[in-house]
Amino acid sequence: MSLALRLLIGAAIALIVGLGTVRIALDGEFLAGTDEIGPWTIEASGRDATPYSAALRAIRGRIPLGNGEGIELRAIVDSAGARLDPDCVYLVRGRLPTARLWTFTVADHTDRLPASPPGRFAATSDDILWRADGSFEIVVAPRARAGNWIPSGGLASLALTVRLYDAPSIAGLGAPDLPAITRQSCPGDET
Amino acid sequence: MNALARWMLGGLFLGGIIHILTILLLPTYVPVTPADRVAAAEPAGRFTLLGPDSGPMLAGLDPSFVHAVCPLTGGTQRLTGRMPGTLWTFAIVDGAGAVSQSFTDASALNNGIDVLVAPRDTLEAIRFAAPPDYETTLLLDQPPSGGFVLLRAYAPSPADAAEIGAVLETISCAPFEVVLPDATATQP
Repeated sequence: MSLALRLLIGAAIALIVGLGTVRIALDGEFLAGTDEIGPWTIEASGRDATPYSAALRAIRGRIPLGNGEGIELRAIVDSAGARLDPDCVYLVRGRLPTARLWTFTVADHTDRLPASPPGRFAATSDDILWRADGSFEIVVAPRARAGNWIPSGGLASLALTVRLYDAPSIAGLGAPDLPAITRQSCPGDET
Repeated sequence: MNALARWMLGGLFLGGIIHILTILLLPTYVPVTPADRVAAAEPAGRFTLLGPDSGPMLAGLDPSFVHAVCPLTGGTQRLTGRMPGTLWTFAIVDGAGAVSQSFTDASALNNGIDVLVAPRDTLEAIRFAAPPDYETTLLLDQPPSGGFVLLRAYAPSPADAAEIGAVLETISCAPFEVVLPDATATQP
């Protein structure tokens, strides 16, 4: 085999591996958070962001909360580690750290909001129905459900975002219990 | 190990280097940064509202909030005005899209903002002279790479959003000439 052919093969492998893994890392949001707690990653917006987070921020124009504004948590997998599917029904149940206000938002991986005829894209600590023990349950599903329901219809992928406004610093969070994300059903389960 | 296997191994090694360099250089060399998008779409000197799904300009904004942006021109700008009565936050976003400085309404006086965003030498001159005009003014660094100011204000219901947006649009974000007591002036 000639030197030119070996060089061509080596260069092709380098480009495919180098750029291909960049694409996989950014699409999958791997290593994009500064810390992981269960399915949730803490989004860093400042100069403490990981290089992967900074790259995503520049490409997508995504501006997470600054350290002085609050804390932003994001999940693209459920508590079992499976990728969230917008066609499935998920139960998000638990508690959040103390904050003046928190919001829970459903979007796709590029932050496009779902089709929501009632204009409902989020739940907040202001308007949510609480359980007697101070915890909450939110159902994320393509079709309407009773209780705290956030639609996920019309999305190509699914990402859940919790923003804690005026919350303690990330370091002050310690190791909090964050809500579990449990898959309840998927279209394929019914057949 | 034959020659082809060595070349393939070399290709994998080089691929790793390409991966690291691409990730590290992307924020610097991305063709259009978030700050470019804001500067291209919004006039300098005032705040402009963003829709809940602001599309190609900024992503990942909270739909429960009303957002307004003002491009930073690189000179000195003073931001003053009354803010809505709900929870709000203030962030300076640099040219690469990183939040360099931020605070919430809990740090504000009388629910208003009076912020001077200026180059570091101008801020040092103000701090040195300590003029009474700036006693209650928050002095913040102008990011060297440019950027914009992002205001986020909570709208408890969609019906509140229009009223809160109207308040945010009244916030001044104009270029400002700093006049110090010794009569030296720093041009905006």
